[in-house]
Amino acid sequence: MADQTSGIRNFVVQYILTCSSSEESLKAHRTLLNKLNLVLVSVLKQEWPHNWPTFINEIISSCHSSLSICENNMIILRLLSEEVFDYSAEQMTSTKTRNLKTTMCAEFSQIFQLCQEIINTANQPSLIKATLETLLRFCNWIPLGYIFETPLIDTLRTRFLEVPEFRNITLQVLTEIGGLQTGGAPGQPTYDEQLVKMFTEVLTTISNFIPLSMDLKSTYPQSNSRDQEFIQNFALFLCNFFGMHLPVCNKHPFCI
Amino acid sequence: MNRDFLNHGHFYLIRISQIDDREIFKICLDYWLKLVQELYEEMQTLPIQGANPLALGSLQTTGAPNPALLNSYPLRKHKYNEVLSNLRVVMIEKMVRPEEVLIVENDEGEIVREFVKETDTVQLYKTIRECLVYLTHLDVVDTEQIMTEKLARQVDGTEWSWHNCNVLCWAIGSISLAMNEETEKRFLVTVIKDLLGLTEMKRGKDNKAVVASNIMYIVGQYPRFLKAHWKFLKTVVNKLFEFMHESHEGVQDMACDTFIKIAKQCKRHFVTHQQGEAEPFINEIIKNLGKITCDLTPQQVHTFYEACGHMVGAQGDAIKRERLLADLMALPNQAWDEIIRMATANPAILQDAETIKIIGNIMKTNVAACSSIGAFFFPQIGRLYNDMLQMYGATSQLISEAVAREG
Repeated sequence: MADQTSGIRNFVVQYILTCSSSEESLKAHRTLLNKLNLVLVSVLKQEWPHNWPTFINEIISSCHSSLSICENNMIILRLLSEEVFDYSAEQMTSTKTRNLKTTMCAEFSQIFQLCQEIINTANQPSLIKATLETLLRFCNWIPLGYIFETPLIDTLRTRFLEVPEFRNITLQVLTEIGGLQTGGAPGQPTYDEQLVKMFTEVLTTISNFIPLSMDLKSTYPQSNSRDQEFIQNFALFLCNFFGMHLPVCNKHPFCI
Repeated sequence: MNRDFLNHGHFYLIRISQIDDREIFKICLDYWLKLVQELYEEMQTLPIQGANPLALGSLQTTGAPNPALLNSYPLRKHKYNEVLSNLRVVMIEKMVRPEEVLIVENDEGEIVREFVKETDTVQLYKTIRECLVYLTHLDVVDTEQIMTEKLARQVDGTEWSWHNCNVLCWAIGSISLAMNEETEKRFLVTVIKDLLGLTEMKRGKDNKAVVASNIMYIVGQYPRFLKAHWKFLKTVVNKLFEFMHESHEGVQDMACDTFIKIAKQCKRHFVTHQQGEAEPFINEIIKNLGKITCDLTPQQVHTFYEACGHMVGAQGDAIKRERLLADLMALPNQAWDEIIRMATANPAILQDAETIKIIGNIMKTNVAACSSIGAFFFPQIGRLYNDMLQMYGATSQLISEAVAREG
C-alpha cells in the first residue's frame, strides 16, 4: 500500500518535472500541467507534512534546475496557499487546516527567500508574473515582518510598478499589503511609517505615468483593457488603503 | 517640498469616480460613503454646550448647519473641503434613476406597470443619496451653490440634455429634508422657477415632457414644502390633473404616480378646510373625478382611487368620512347597480365577455380604494356584500351547469 502511494506520488512529480522541463514544453503542456499541479496539491493535502516532510525542501531545490520548473513550482506554491488558506474551510477539518498552516508558516522562510531571489534577479517575464501571483496569495497570511521588514515593497515598486506588463499584478500585491490589519494585538508593531512610505512612494511612481491632471473620464474609454484594469486596481488600492489606514494618514506629518 | 499625498490620493479617486463605468464607480462609492459618514459623525460630536449661543441655536435646529459656524472648530472635514466640493459634483453627475418601472403583462393579458424594488440601480440610488445627504450636512452652502449653478447650465443650454436634466433633478430630489426648512424653501422656489422657465423655453413635446416630469418628481420629493404652502400644493395638483389628459408617452403615468405620492404624504391637507376655500379640496376632486380621469387607462384610474382613498381615510369625522366614501365610490357603484339590475333580469349576461371585464374593473377599483382607506371602507363593503354573494352563487351555478352540459 505504502509502495503504491509513493509510486503514484513520484509518478506525478516526475511527470510535472518533465512537462515543465523547458520553456517550450511548459507552453505546450499548459492544460495538462494545470491538472497535474492540482493532482499534486490534492496529494499534498493528504500526505504533507507527516508522510512527506521534505516536500518544501524538494520543491525549493528543484527550482534551481531550470527557470521553467521554477515557474511551475511557483504556481504549485500558489495553489497550495489557496487550498490551505483561502478555500480550506469547506474541504478540510479545522485540525488538519491548522496543521497545514503551521507547517507552511514554519517553512515559509525558505519559500520567501526563493521569491525574493526571483524578484530581485529574474528577467523572464512569465516567471516574474507567476511569482508575483504567488506573492499575492501569500500576503494575507505570512508574518508581517516578511512584508515590512524586508526590501519587498521597494523591490515591487521600483522594479515592476512602472512596467506595463507587471503593473496590474504588482498593484494588486501592494493593494493587499495596504489592506493588511497591522498592530492588531498589543505589542505588535503597527508599521505606520512603512505604510505611509509605501503609499506616498507608490503614488509618486504612479504619477509618473498617470499624472494627476489626466482626465480619466475621457481617456478611459479609449484605453486598452490592461490600462482599464489598472485604473480599477488603482481605485481598489486607494480605497483599500484609505479605508484601512486613514487615521494613520491623518496624524502623519507627510499628509498634514 | 511638502506634497500633500492625502489630498493627491483623494483627487485621484475623484478622477477615477468620474469615469463612466458602474463597477469602478461602486468601488469608489463604498469608500466615499465611509469617508463622509466619518466626517459627519465627527461633526456631530462637537461640544455644543458652551459654544456660542448663536451657534447653539443653529446647530440644534434640524437640517444641515450653517458651515460658517463650524469653521472655528478643528474638524477633519476642513482638510477635505476641496475634495468634498469636487465629490458633490461627482455624486450629482453620477445620480441614477430612483425607481424602476417594469412594463409587464399580467395574468389577464393586460399590459401593466410594476415598480421594481431592490434592483442594482435602486440600490445604487440609495447609496448615492446617502452620500449626498452627508455631503449636504457637511456644507449645505456649497451643495446648494453647485446644484443652483448646474441648474443654470441647464437653462443656458451649456449642459442641457435629457440625461443631464434627469440626473440633476433626481439629485435635487434626493436631498429632501437635509437642508433646514428655510434654506429648503428658498432653494426649492429657485429650482421650480428655473425649471418652469425651462419648460416654457424648450420647444417640442418630448423636451417639455422631460422637464415637466422632473418638476413633478422634485415636487413629490419635498412634502414638507408642499405641506407648508397650500396654494402651491393645490396648483401642483391641478397641474397634475391637466397632465392626466396629455397623451404624450409617460406623462399620464407620471402624473398619477406623483398624485398618489403627494396624496400619501399630504393627505390631511386635502380634507382640511383651507383658508379662503369654499370647501376641502377632496370634495372638489371627487366632484370632478369623472372628468379628471376620463382619459386615463383602467390601471391609472385605480391608482387615482387609491390616492383619493388615502385622503378619505385621513378625515377624522366619521360622518364626513362616510359621505366622502360614498361620493368617491358613486361612479363604480352606479355601474355595479346597473350590472346587478341586468343580471337579475337575465343571468346569462354574466357570461358575456364585455360584462365580465366591467365587473373585474369595478372590483379592482374597490380593491384600490380599500387598500388605502383600510377599515373605514366597511360601509362600502356592506353596500356590495349581498350582491357580490349572489353574483358569486349565480356564476358558480353557470360554471357547474356548463361543466355538466359539456363535460
